[in-house]
Amino acid sequence: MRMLRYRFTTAVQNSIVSFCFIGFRYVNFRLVTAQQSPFPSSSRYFNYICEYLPGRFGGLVRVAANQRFAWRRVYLWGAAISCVSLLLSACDAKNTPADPPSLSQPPQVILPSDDLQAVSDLRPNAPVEEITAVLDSVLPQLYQLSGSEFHRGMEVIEFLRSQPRAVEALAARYTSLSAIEYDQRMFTVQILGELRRVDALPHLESISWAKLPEDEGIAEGLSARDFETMIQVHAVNGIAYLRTDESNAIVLRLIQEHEARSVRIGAIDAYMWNHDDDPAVAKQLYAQLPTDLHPYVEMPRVHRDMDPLEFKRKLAEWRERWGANE
Amino acid sequence: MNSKRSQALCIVFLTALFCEYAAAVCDNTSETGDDQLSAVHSCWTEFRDWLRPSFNLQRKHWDEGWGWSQCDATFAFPKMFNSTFLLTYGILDTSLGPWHNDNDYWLWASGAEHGFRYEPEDDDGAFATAFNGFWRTDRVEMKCPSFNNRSPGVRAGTMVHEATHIIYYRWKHQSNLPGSNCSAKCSDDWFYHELGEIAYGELRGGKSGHKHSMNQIQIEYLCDIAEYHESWVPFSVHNPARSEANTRMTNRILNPPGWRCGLPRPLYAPIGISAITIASTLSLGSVVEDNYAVLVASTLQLL
Repeated sequence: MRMLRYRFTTAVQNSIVSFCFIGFRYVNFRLVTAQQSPFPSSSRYFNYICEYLPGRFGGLVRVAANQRFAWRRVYLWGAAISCVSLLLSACDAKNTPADPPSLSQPPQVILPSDDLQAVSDLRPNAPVEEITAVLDSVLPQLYQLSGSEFHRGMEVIEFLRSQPRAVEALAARYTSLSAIEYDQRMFTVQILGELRRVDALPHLESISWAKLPEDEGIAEGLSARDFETMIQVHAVNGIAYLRTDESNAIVLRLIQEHEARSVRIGAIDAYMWNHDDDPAVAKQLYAQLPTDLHPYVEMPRVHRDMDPLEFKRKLAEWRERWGANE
Repeated sequence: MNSKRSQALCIVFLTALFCEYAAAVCDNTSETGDDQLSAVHSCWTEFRDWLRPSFNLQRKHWDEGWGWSQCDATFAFPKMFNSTFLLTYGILDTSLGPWHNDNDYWLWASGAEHGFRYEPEDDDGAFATAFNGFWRTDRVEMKCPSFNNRSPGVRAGTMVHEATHIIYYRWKHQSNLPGSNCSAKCSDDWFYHELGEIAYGELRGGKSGHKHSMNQIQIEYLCDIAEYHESWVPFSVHNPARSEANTRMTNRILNPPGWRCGLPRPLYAPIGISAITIASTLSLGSVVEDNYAVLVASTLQLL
């Protein structure tokens, strides 16, 4: 009888503690979501409690729970935790932040240095070494240009285009960069493509067909495979930008045979854009491509020069046609 | 004996309770985009004092080697400064163009607004990880790959992504489409909305807001900073953003919304707002009413 009463009492205690435990945590959640917590989240002491105590008490409960003869201690700790849990409702509550300070003057636009001049100062038919030396100083400058100054960069590329060995120098630069310098590699490939020179085609093709690393399965980040495919899409953009029969054939082959879906889709986009989004070309692609790639043939693009109303119309059309496949 | 053992246990317990272990920090690296942006805002102290409580970056986490009071953009805190600066001011004010505006994005990523904090973490396993803590405060851990070989624009994209995990309590990614680049569960649904459907400044997370998945809000931000950035945003910031927007759209969205970000030209930087955009905007009477000044500014920029 005595044992039965003991078990009953502990069961009741257990229920009460559990109820308090869940209840306080629920109150905490509601207070925080309703933004009604009386305590500011910036309070140092409450943050201190939030950071240290919960983990430590949680650990103690686990320790106590492993000691079969110390159930009462578990309940005592449970009650303590419940109290702390109530305190926790005050921790890091939502606080609507103040409005940001207004920009009294526009941020400073960084002007390009005179180093950009170095490309136009190159003598005609300069050797690869000379071009490489200039690229080493100019490309970092180009990469830093503000949007409003980028026309200066395009002028530099015009000068570079007139150098017969510029492609060779850029290809050598690309190879010399380390694998993880993704942004720099991407930028170099972009310049190579923007030169729009036929002698760049073998280099761009080689980059676009390079074997990709295995997927690493990173959920909260991008893998090496993601970055490599991004570079390959830029290489494909460069190939398509040549707009020759040979380059068009290569892009079509990439669309059909490349191992990465994102490169195939990027190639479709580049192919269509370089054919002025011609409906007749789209029709040819529909005939050649597997159906799972059809939605990407006439996909509208978001860009600054677009007509927003025209974009909305095209997107509505696209969704009407392909939305059922979602 | 028992008494001594108890005392020893107490000491161990108290030590564990109150000692803070000095953690290692990520490598301090020089990133082009960060260096440029630091030159643009020159470590604006008024903004720094605002961002700390607004995004909930606390001294006890960001000091001791993370660069809490540094202007040197090789440190992690100044890199966060750059990303929050971009979130707060980086997108051009137009009457119709970007998916959302600055105000929408910084509020979405704000730790104070959503009851979580940002902490740095010396870990190479991911860009960042969000924790909805039962026992510990909700937090986003910004990890080394966010600071090394990563520009401020895409880092800001990571911030809005991770904030979404917390805004929609423990929202997880789903399995991917066949052929995507990620074998782990990395994909999300897309909650479609039209361009201009959500008025600028009206995007809010949570039940009463406009629901966006993690990758969706990240893609929209990345595309907006890529295409609708302010004139002072360097190429090194907006160029990678465009590529990442497209790769995420292809690999991490289960139901593509039907658009791609930017033009597939090898190299370009969007400049100004086109005449056709302004002409279209003029026909949207109701939208223009509130944005006349912005429209004039855009027109002047064009001229």
